[in-house]
Amino acid sequence: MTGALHPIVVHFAIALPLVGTALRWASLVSPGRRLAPAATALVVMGAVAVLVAVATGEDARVVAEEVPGTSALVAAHATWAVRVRALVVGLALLEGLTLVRPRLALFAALGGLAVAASVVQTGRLGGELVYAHAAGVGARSDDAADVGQLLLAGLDRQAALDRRQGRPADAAELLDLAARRFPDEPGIRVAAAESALDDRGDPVRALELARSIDVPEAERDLRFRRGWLVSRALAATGDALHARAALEDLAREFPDSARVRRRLAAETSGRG
Amino acid sequence: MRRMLQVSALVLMLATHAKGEEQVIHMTARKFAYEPSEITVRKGEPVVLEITSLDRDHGFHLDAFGVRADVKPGQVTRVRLVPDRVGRFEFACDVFCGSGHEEMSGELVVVE
Repeated sequence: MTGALHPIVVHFAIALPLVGTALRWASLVSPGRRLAPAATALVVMGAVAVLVAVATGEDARVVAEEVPGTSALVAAHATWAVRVRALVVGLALLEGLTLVRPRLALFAALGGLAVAASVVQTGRLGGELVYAHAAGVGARSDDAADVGQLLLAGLDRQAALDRRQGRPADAAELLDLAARRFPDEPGIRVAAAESALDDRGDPVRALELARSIDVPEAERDLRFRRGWLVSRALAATGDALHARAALEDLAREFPDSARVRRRLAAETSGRG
Repeated sequence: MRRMLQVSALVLMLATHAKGEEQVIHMTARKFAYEPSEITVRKGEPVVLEITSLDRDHGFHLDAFGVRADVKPGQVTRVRLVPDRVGRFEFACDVFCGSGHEEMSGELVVVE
């Protein structure tokens, strides 16, 4: 079964058994008794979702295992998924029996706790694969471009970390690489231009890069960053006149920016 | 409100001033502002900024004095500096915190 469905189906495989178990527990006390059929329905649907999730997961695991360092985690996630499948199918059968033997409801509730704990553990491992190891990228679309986005995100985020940890040269190197590989991505090109000034101390290069970037009108934050960079880089080259002109352009485009107004006021008074 | 906080920061500075004593200023950071956003200090006198975040991770970058720090919720970040020149110097958030991050800034005003 196609792995592309796995990221979608898992949400049902997690939510349905959990909510079904919650309703089953609620049905054990008097006001909640009428929730019993809903509890059964949700657990049965959850069992179906788990069956589909496990089947699609087998297909999706190839994409996850390709990421270095994930094989043990993938194996653990798969092991728990198989346990959940066995438990939830058993629970679904038990829930079905409660329709004819209501006294089995307490056993179904207790069984639901075991299923819930297993579902949470399986989901936690899957979440770690996706959010800590980026092992799900490309699984849904089967498109190599997704992996390219992963590289872009990784280079950008690692550069930011390098800078914060006192490694500006490393940050600049990563952003240069990212800008070369993704020349159509204005965000990373602006980041590389900023890095030329802030990490390499090269305002001439920063200006050259900034002026070569075409930022769409809709990208307001990016347009601000480029304009702010142009002004800073001009100031760093000693061209105060054009630095101020760049700030004035920015003030016209962003009239609500207190930051630009403050900077213009400082330029006017010669302070700072 | 903002003006009141700025005046409070100035009053606090004057009230706690003693030659050689560290001035401690409490600040908060949240999307997308610092409070107070304008801090006045005296040249040559040590100041400690105690900054905490009210929502998520932020940064504090005072480029003119080579100062930067991470500011996290639930923790107090202490930044110590001794301003050695007079002027108005921008500080800004350098940890992306959402659309609006570019406006997250303030000014350190150093007076004689």
